[in-house]
Amino acid sequence: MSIVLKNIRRTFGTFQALRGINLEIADHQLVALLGPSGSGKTTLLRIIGGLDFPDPGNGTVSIHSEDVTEKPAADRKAGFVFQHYALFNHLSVFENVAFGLEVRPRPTRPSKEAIRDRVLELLRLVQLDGLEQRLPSELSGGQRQRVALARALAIDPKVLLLDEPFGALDAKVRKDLRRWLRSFHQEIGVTTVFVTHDQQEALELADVVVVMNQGQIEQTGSPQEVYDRPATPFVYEFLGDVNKVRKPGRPDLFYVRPHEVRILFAGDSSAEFHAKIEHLFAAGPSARLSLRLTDSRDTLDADMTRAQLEEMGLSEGDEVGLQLALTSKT
Amino acid sequence: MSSKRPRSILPGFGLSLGFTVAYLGVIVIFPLIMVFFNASGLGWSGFWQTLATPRVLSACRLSFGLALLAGLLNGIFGLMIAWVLTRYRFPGRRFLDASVDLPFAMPTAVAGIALTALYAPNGWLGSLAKPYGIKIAFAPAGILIALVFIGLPFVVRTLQPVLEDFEIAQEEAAASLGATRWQTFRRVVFPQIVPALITGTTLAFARAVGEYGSVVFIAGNMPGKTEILPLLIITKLEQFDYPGATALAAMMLLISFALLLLINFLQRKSLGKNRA
Repeated sequence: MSIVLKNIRRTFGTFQALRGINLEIADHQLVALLGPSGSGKTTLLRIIGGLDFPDPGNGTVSIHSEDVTEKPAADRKAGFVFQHYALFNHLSVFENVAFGLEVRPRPTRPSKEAIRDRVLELLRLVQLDGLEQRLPSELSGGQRQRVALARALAIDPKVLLLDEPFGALDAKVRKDLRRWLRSFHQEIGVTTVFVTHDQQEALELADVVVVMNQGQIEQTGSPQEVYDRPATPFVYEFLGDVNKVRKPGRPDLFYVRPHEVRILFAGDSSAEFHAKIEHLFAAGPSARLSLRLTDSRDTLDADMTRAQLEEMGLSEGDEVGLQLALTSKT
Repeated sequence: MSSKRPRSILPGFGLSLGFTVAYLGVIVIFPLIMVFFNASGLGWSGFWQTLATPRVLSACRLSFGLALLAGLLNGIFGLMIAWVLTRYRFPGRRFLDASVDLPFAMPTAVAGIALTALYAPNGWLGSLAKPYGIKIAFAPAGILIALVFIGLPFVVRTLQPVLEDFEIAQEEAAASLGATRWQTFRRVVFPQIVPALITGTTLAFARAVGEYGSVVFIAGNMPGKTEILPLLIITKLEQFDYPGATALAAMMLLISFALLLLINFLQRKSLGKNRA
């Protein structure tokens, strides 16, 4: 196991940021801590990195089977990449990346040439070769993020921790960098934990998704597991779109994802529900329908392919029948 | 005509520049030119005769030497005070923070009298130093204390906002990369606050050069020993030696101006390294 967290609690004043977190992260994995703001995911990441600590006597952190609970960040060899990069503004790209090597005590500090080779190699790795003399202020957001990554990797970290790595970037760069990070991780193989509030980012990128809410872990699993078999209503609602439906005469709520709604002709005898198409949105490969159920007056979103839509010849205002694969979660 | 000038989205460049030049001219530059104009009545030889006396030269050494020293001391201890006030939360912090401004608010003569009472051979602190043969008031040490006193707020108040805005994540980044606290301060924080530190130290120095009120009480004013330049100027004025007084003033201005240019140059250099 690369990282083992046991029963971690952290309180800020009266606010319980973490309420007993247990988590094991295997070697070489790319793990997403996913949750809304205030769920404690960043606090957890900072505790792994030694930038914050559990309440005294409440939890242990181990990295590579070594208990580091009491160790400060400087002794953990955990590479940390900050949301807003936290590059040293007065140092060049080269000096930023070399920093972790140059602050080592003399006996373990590599020679000037060795540092130089390592820094240039890292800058090649993050595709920033040729920019080593620039200052951070002369770089774009995506470039800064990669400098921060190279800087963290320079110390040969045991684990790599990324706090909202793409949070401050625009959509296009975000997507490119996300894809790049995925293949980059495959290349270097360092156990990596990243924090995000973007469910799509977590599902697309991670081997394991840890869904957090209100200082607790709701579910841990592969992207497919957490998406297809959500363990709690929170996970169901947080991961992807979901409809909440009541069955006539029953008080409990049911959950169904838009792509799990089957649209039938109104007269179809296998229809369980009937609804009216209130709005139809058909840009792109699939169409989204806003439906209102005839019985309960609940609204419901449904996805279908454009081909299907055209075949059935549906338009706004039409009555349709529905088949729902309902899962009870309450 | 005006359409040939590169267009700026901010209007009023001509007006604001004109105002700036006129204002600085009337308030700062014009009075200073008058100093040189008045002094020029002496001619070069008269000018040199006034200045090249042992009394003037020793006052000159004393004033600039102690002002530089006071500026440096304020730079070091002002940085420490600003650091403590911005980084730590402790009871009485706001009181301490407010007390930094006191040297600004107090009439300088009051400060001078208070310092003299404290450091005179029969004062609270002066009497403690006396058995060791150390004389504080009525000696250069006393002048230094007065100059440090009045210059301190400049350093603290220029550093405080810079330290407050400093990105804590940069220090955390340094720590996660294995740097010790001292390495983090020396390699990450300090280089980025140097420009503000130089500004504050320069202001403290400039103020100390011209300081009169708080120094005259504690200095003892012995010609050639504890007599500062501003006092010498006043003495000449009291003897109705206006050309002599302005000659001294012109010399002070020239030396101060040269030193400020030098400091500015150093600051430009340190800023050049952190173009960020």
